[in-house]
Amino acid sequence: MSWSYTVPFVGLLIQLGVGAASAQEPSPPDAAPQEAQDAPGPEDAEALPALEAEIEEELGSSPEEPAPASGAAGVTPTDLGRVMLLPDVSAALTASIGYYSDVPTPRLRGHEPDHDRRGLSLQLQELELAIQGVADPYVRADVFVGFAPDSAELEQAFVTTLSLPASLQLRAGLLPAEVDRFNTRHYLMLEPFADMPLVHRRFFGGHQLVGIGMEVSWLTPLPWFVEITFEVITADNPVSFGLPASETVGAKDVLTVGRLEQFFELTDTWSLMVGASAAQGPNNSGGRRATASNRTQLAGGDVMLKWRDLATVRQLRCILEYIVRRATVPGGRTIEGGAYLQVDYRLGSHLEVAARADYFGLPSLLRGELAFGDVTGAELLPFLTPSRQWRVGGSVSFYASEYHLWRLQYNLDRLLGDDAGLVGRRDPVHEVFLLYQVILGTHGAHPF
Amino acid sequence: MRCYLATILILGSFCARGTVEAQIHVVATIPSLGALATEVGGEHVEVRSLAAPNQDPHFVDGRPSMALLLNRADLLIHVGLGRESGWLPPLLTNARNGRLQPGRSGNLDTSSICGALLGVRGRDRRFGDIHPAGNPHFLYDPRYGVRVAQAIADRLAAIDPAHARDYRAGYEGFARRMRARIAEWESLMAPFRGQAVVGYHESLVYLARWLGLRETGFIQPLPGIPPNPRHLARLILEMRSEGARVVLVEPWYEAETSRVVAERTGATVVRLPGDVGAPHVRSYPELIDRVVQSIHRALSGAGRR
Repeated sequence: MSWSYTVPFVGLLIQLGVGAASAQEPSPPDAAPQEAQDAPGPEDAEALPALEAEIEEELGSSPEEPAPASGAAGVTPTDLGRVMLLPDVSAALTASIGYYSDVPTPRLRGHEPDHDRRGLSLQLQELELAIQGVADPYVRADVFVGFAPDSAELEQAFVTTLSLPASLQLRAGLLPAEVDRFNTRHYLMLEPFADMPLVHRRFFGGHQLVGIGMEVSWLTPLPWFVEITFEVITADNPVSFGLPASETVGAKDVLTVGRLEQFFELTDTWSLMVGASAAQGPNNSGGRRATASNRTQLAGGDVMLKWRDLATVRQLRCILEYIVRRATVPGGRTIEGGAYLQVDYRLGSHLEVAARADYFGLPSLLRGELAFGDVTGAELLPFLTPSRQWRVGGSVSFYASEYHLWRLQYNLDRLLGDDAGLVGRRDPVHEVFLLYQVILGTHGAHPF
Repeated sequence: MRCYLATILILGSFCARGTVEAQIHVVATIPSLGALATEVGGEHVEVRSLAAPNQDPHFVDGRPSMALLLNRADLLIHVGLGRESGWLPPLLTNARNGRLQPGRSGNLDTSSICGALLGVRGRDRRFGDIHPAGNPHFLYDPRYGVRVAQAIADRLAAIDPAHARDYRAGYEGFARRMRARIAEWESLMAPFRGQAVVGYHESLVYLARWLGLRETGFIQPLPGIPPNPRHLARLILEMRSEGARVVLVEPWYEAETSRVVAERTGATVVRLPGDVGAPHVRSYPELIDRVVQSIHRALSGAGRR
């Protein structure tokens, strides 16, 4: 649960009864194991069910609490891990049952729900293994590995400096690109939907935009939070870029990303986060030899307005993000943009409701005639051809605890095609997902 | 050009701030710790607390503005034992402040100097959202508060040796006042030793042990797990059997469940003030006083019924 070696180690010593007590007056008593608060002893067999029904009628029902096994405080596995200098290790399993009224609209293989036909689909979306910890006084390291039934993939692995001067920070490794707010987040755990916003799916495929490289960020000395980030990473992403690390030889082969993020405390409960990003790099639409002239530029902005009740876990978020992509490709140039508006509300410990509206095709422009040839795989063509699509959806999430949830989501998804007829128009597709997620172990705290 | 000059002046003023101001910038995760730092540090410290007085310290929204405070702080004081683990680590990383990293002089984990602490029931999350290394709610026992104040004084003296004598004096004055108040509170509550009470969360175990109260159960079936009707029915029967007449609830827990339980047991719901900064609670001694007086009133009333 904790994040340093010192805290749990000292806690463990205390628990083992070797904590050094100070000598000042007045002094707290010595260690005494807390008495077990087990189930009540004198239960009235007749009164209990009636009372339970009465309370359920007044307060509503809630899940049964797990029956705790008898046990006493002692050395926990986590404590032992700290003593052995093990990092925090956690696993998050996400699985879903999906229903599609027709073949789903274009998507690439990844961790989103997917199917190749209409009907039901059972999918283990992801088992994410996270290994996180402080390596030494200078850096911490975070490693995330994603498993699917037939694949394993290193999703992110980076080190972060902890104490550079001038409020600078370096990150290096396999990094998420700071192209907007969403791309840096593990959406299956942090966002109340089973799938990605449409614009991310169309620009980056089944995975988020990541690359091997380095990032420097600066927390400015202004009175409010202003962070400026600059990244240089490999342009591996097959949809918007497509130049793998193994073929990166010079500055023109990498993806450069810049982001400005600001945070404003409007009141104790309301806050506003505003970000703007830009990125540019080579694309592989004309093959490796043409990447100097075939370039992709991304630009975007995002706004999050958040209300958080201080006294409870209730919170409301309104998120608006927009990304536009300009790509020089064989035969011409494409300019496409997409946006989504998300509103989610956490009602209490158990329930969260969310709605999202996506539109892709703001704008949807093609200059010239596309001639990708054989270089680009057929599965990528729908992602490179300007077209329009919209989707609306909503979800209800039930949190049995902070480590265990069920989510029911509905989408109405429609591909509108394009003016040139390269991407066909489709009837609306109804999608329903029932998602289950469980988190094991010492999972790192979530960002804002 | 004018715009550039203004920007340079603003940046320059903030860069130079550290040299102009002599105060030690202290960030406390919860207001109680901030209040203790103020008691000890006096005019030599500028104290900011991250959690609000009416906010559950387990579920603070780790705003980026908090990272900014940590970036400019000389000393971070936190409870430890995982109480802030849900929100503090990313802030600390984002703060880029080497002085505050764990193990450094600017990072004071108060649980590490509290000696023996109460443990927990279980070893994994079958037992709820537990703190495996111990229960972190020790500041409800003012004797721990005194001990933490001493640690803060020691740490401030190490960071700011020029005022070490003042910090020591600040601590000694505070400890002297607290010693007298602790004796008063113990005397006030002495008639109620052994009385049964019910808490919402396992946050009052230290308080109950100090005052000799008997916690017969909790509204939450397990730490962090919301109550369900079956558990509440069992709790009500147990309260009737044990004669528990007081339900102690911190302000961040919903009131409706406690009301339902109280109605069926004839108990009084005592809404505790939360933390320093709540209405009429301006200091740590006032916080403990409000808590003790509230429980005393409720138990006195229960006795007369």
